[in-house]
Amino acid sequence: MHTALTKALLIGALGSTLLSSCGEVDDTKATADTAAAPTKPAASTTKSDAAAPLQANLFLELSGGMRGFMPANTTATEPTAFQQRVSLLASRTNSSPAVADTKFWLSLNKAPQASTYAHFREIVQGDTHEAALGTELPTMLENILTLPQAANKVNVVVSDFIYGPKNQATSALMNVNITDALATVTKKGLAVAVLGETSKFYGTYHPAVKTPLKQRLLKGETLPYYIWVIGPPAAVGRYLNEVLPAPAATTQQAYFGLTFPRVPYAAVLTQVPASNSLAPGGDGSISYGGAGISTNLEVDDVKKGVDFTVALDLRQLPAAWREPAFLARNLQAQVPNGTVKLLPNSIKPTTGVPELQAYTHTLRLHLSDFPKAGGQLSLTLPAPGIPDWVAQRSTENDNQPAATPHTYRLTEIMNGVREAFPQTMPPVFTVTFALSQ
Amino acid sequence: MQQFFNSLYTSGIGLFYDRKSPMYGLYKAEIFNTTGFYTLLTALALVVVFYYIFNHAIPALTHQGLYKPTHWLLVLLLVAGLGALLAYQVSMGQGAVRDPYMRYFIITNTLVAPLWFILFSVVLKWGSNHARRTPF
Repeated sequence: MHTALTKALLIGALGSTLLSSCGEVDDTKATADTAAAPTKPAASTTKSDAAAPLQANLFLELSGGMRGFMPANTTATEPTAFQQRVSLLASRTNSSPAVADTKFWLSLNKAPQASTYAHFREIVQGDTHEAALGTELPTMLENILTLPQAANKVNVVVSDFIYGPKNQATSALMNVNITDALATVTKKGLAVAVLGETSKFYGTYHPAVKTPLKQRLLKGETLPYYIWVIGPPAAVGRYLNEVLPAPAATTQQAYFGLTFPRVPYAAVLTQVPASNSLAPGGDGSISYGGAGISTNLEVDDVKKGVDFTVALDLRQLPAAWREPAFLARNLQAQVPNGTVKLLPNSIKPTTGVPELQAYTHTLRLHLSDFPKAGGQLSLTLPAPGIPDWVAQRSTENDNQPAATPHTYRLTEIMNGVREAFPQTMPPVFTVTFALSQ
Repeated sequence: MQQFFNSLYTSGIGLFYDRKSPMYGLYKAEIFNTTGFYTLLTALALVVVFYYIFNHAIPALTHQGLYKPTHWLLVLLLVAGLGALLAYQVSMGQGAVRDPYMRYFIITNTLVAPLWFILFSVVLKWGSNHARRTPF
């Protein structure tokens, strides 16, 4: 009798514990599935990138107006910044392991003329006797983009980008002409990078505006020139980071159409010791939704406020977009129906944090509200528009070179480039976390 | 069962400490469940040892007369100690870091283990020959 009673009680006790456990939603499976997810895409992107070497076309505008950048040097003269930079650019494009095949071209007054690396180098070193009459900028771009396979290659164009339309009437529509010339870019969804450089100029300068002088003889004045990189977004991104010589401090940069679908990222919760300033803080608590590092975050007492760090790997982005100051101005943190803010001065490079070597930047967020049912935290870098330096470099009359380098109606040219892209451009990158409380 | 242990320990720790560890996900996914099971089994095993081995099945041990409430209390303290040890060992084994949350988890399990022991004692003591009235 005793044993029967014991059994009954035991079953009753176990039964009640089991019942109490069945009533709740089993979310452990979901969290376990997502836990390993975010690390995988990062590994696969680097693999596929490495598997696809770039094809490059390198164009040098060889018009009379470009000769002054490429004077024939003697042992006593120093090569111009143009000569140094463009020869390094050509050399690196020619030899970089990231580039499978490079074709060198001279943009003369008609279609681009195929050249060789040796010949290209000779020209940059000062052998410019082949120089022809200048090509109009839209025609030059059009000719470049109509070359076979141009839309699949990285097209690097070195030119002064002085656009003086022969038919003065068309100068009112410079932006449209440029947009039309870039029709391939629009249709194929290519990206355009514009790097503004300056160099000393020794020779005949042909300004776009012909008054008061049709041409001037310059002896070492500084003039602007530009390197444009046009091609598929991923290829342009790689070319900028792996092949192009690192931009100097004075290099002006503008990028259009570059997006990075897979930026590796993580919330820094358990990677650093609690004493580290990157560890979570605030009066609420935050943890990963599952056992491993994941993008599912569980927050407790969110109303009390939670501070936590997000680590990003922005190695793929061009240099100008990796600047903490630029990121601080442009990055947007959002939670629908919630409150999150990017803490000021919190964007920093990850140097000196051994636990976060896989990432390049950290930033700190303050999360103080999101819906009880859960939310999504997104961190977005919207595509930047035309940068400020363009307006500063633009001029209505480039006849007289000034101390600050000017390009005739650069704003119009760049507006034309911008208009070759959709009105609302997709963000450069977006990273998201699923939040629950 | 996992949900039961998660709720038990989360609310248990919540009585002492109103914050959560960044490792909370790990506690929910692994630590609470494993510790909970081991603690439950330990308590059950010691109840069986006390009531059915020492005071029931083996005459040599039964004749030691270890059925008094004091003896029972000593086993209860042993269970509490084992509970603390289990909580610590499982947490460290799963890679949790020593933080206040772990400390309060150990304290909670030190209390949970004797509760299981008491529960199983009440349920199972009736079957024992010599200790069916221990502790009351």
